[in-house]
Amino acid sequence: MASTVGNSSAKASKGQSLAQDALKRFFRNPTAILGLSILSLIILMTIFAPLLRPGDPLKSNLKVRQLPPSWTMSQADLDKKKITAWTYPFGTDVQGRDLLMRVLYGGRISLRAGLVAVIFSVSIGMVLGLVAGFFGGWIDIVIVWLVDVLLAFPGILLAIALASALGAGTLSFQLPFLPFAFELSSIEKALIAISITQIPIFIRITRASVISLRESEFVQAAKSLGANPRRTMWLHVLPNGLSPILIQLTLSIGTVVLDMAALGFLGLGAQPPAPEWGAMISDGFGRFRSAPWLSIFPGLAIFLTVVGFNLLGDALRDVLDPRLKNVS
Amino acid sequence: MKKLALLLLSLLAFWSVANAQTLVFGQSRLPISLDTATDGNSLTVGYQIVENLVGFKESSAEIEPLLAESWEASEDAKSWTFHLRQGVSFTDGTPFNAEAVKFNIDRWNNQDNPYAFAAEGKDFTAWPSIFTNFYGEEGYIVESVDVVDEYTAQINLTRPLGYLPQLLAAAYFGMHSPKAVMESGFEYGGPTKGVVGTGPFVFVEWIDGDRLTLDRNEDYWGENAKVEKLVFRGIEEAATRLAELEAGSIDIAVNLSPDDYEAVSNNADLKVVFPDADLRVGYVGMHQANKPFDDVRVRQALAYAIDKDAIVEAFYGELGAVANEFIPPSLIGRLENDPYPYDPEKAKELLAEAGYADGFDTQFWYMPVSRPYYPNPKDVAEAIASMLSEVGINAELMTEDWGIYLDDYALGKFPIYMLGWSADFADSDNFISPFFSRTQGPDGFGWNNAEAFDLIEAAQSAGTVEERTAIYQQIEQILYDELPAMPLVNPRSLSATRANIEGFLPNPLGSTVPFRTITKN
Amino acid sequence: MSAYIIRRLLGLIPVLFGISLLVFIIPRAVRGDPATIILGERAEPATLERLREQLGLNRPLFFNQEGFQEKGIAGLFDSQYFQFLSKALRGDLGRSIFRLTQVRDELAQRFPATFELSIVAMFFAFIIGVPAGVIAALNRGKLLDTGIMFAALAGVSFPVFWLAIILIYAFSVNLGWLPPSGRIDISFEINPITRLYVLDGLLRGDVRFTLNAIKHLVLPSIALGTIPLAIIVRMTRSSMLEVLGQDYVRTARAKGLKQRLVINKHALRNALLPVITVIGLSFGGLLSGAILTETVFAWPGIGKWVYDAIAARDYPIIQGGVLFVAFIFVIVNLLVDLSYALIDPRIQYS
Repeated sequence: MASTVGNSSAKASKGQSLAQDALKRFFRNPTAILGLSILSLIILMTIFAPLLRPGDPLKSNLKVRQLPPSWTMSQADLDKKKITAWTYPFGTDVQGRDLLMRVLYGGRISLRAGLVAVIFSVSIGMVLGLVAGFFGGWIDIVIVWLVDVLLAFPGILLAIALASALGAGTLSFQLPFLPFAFELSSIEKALIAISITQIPIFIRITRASVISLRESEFVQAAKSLGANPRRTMWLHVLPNGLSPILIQLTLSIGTVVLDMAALGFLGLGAQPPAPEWGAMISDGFGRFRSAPWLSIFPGLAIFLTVVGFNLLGDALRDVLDPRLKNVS
Repeated sequence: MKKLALLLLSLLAFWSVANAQTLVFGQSRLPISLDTATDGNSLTVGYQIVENLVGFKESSAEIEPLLAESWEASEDAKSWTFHLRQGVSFTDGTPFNAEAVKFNIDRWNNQDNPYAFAAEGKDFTAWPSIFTNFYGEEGYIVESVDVVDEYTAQINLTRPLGYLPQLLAAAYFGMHSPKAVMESGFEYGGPTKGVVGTGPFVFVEWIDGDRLTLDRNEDYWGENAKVEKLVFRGIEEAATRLAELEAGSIDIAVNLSPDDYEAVSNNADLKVVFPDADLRVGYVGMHQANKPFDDVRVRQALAYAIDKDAIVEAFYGELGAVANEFIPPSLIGRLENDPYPYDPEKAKELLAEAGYADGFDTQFWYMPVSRPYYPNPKDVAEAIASMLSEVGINAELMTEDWGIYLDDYALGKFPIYMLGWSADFADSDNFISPFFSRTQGPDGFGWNNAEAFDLIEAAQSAGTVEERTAIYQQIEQILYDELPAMPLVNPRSLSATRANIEGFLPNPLGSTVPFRTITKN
Repeated sequence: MSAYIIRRLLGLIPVLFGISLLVFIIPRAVRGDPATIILGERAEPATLERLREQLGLNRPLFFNQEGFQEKGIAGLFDSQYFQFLSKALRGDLGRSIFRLTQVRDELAQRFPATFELSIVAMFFAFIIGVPAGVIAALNRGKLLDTGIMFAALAGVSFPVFWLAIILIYAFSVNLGWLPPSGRIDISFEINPITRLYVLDGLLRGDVRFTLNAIKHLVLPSIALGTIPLAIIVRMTRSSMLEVLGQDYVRTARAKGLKQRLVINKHALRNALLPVITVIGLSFGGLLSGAILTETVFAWPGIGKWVYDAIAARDYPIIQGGVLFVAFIFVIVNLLVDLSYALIDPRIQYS
């Protein structure tokens, strides 16, 4: 009912100094520092995965399959397998692959998925939200209807329905008028399904910002000076509505990482032998009695990543939008 | 406190009384249907309710009379007469007689029969896989069923078949009450209607996703079952199934993971159960109608590239043996050749000879479900794909729903794939003709070998064991050289019961286990 | 007020229409002919034709122009989509491809399990979340607050299915306290009354049955309730802080009323309003979270049902299940909005 956005008109007039101020506050915020450190650590580790754990994360080695984390093993067992206490810190999986290596490489899949899906949905969502909020009328009604319909599917349900309809394995299809065929891997299909569930959120936020800004003094002023409405939209409205979008973007990456893992767990996302975190947990699920480490470590990786993005999102909210500080 | 203890005690007493007569059976899923489904989970349940004309001796693949007391073939083996047990009724009161036999076989055999419910989506795939085809379609075997008198039925065939009784003993062919089928319509066999047979148990209730309950048939024509109630539970994960068994909430758990063999055998509350020799084989198929598997060298390269010993040791342990031929060890006609050894270098050479020095990209399809021959199909698939990548064969792992998987395999859509076989009846033919016969071979393997087709048909109608053995060995030699598919493993399926369960004797044929004789002490 | 209700109800129609459209289009756009899916690609053409006729697949997708010319406006709507819509409105969701059962019947059998689990999960989230949020608010800025808020943040960062596996591993496998799967021990006769097992047990006065059903509910409802719990904590805290800063609470405090009385009588009651909204909104999230939770715990509800149907590509079930969940979600949202409007007189209905 009450709109929570749209308080930034005052900020806008001060422009530059406010942004600097926000940045300063951001780096003094302990939540932000914690979130940033966690994320930087994870990002660095995934980037340098080949240096940290050299080897092929897909190659089976049946002689050392399903070993517990090597530091928990007795010396006799270590000797029997001819390994040391730190050969496999996370243990090995069903195929005898180094679980730590797979968790590191899995970060590449999840982080890339999070970024790509969010960029995809934010760009589509912002364009549609801008159009709806700025022009109003029938366009607005149709877009709002679309948002309502998409948001009527709770949580991950729509992504599941879409991913399952897209089927397993590589999907190739041809668009009319284009001479070449598109190929979508199972990860890309899952990405599309998840992105679609995020789009309406960005439409809604953008639209709300635009509407409140449209009525604000400086836009009205620009209008009265005879500025081109499209120019006004891109130059004035969009930059000022950015902060709620930025906050949502950060939180959405976390959601996408979780949803991606959920689809992987359900067998609808990444296909074996891809080291996707959700799929790895699913592998461990059938063996949680005999080999709990198979699901514990990929789960912790997901948890840390999502916590990182959520901390960052919280901190951004504190800094950019003081009025929202206490609201979840 | 004392009161509480008393209450607990009486509860415990009540518990054990309530439990003593109920046998709880844990399998991976509840049935799909009790009528036309062909999966083990459906058949195991159905086998307790409906009975076949021909049965199996206890824990053996040898046949014995069941609803038919005796049978004989005409001289040309093209017409078989079955003499039925008299005085047997279905549990809805319908008498079991030759009319009922005709009703059942007609509805299986003929897709146009109104009670086949083909247009409603029922698809009795077991029939064409065992009797070559449905009535009127290419190569069909069963021509008609005649009611000779009330208790004599005659089955007429289009060509001689020396082992029709073995075929009719397969778990799919239980006799259903004609009245029940007609009254229930296409929903017959589903959760709301159940099925009606002559067997030692009657259908009571099927709560989808939870349990399926049968009661003892108190008017059974033979000796009544030992337990009063049978409950089936579908517990998907083998690990969870074992956990429930250890907790005592189920009495029998089947298809456990080979990984858990040690845990089960070390537990004094449990008994490990498996048949001496399962009649099963797990294999890797290649579709040779298409490139690159049209070249025998490529197929052989694949066999050299896969370390069968390592796979069987890792994923089966003591519960599997490397298979080198399709016919399993206890049957006639085996070659006992040396297997293709693990030799990646040789594989690369063969690939280079065939013009694939740099390898190639392909798809490897693995089964989405656990079957007795491949308890963990995804694991085996990943290991094989990893080995293939060593010799330059880049196989994308693929899977899809089991039902569609079986269709697509038969349509020849898979370049390389995993599949296996559990015998329907104990004859070498059942490990050859479902794959390599004139009608089946072209489907999944793109196999079109006229010499093999002729030999298979010759073996079916050959008279003596020696003749048949010789022919099967010839066939096996062709399969060994041409390698339309690579046999991988002869597994034994692991089951376990609580220590107080007696008389659970798995059959080498899998689903045909009668629960009538099981006791719970 | 009644004008507001009517306006909201009318507003539902386009949304429900859109949902039905989406659910109808997705599988057809991607998967093609349902008759081929049911019968397989090797089916006889004649059999396929019969099934197509029976399922009405020979009609056009949306608008029947021939029908329009023959029978006027009624003929125009003689199409697959409107057939699907009118059947769905009458509760006919088609038949399962593999079991041939009515989707509606299966849904009716499955839904109580999910409903029971969701209610208990929500109850768990509420009775822990509200006090935790209040405590955090009253200790604002202190270590306790930080701790609770971090736990709440962690709570929304777990993959639900992973938490479920860890719970089973800890409490069923290692400690052996609670059952790892299912709704009730197999030794119990079910004889359902309401199909809500706890309620059934109470209605029959069967203590053992009730306790056993509760035991089975503990782990799944913790797994399912964690996310709403975390959200409730955050919501309660922020709305508490807002209320505590308001004049009337400060006045009450200044008047020297006891801290506890102020909180109970004035602050909490007002602070709970937005929390109730959150609970309503989380209910839909629970229904979709149920897919993951029920899969891990082998809980025979609609989540597991839809998941199995996805694995089996049983489209009528997927369609029916998704349609049903979206429908429930929309209705619950509406009820929340309406009750919110009823409770809080400050809200305007214009």
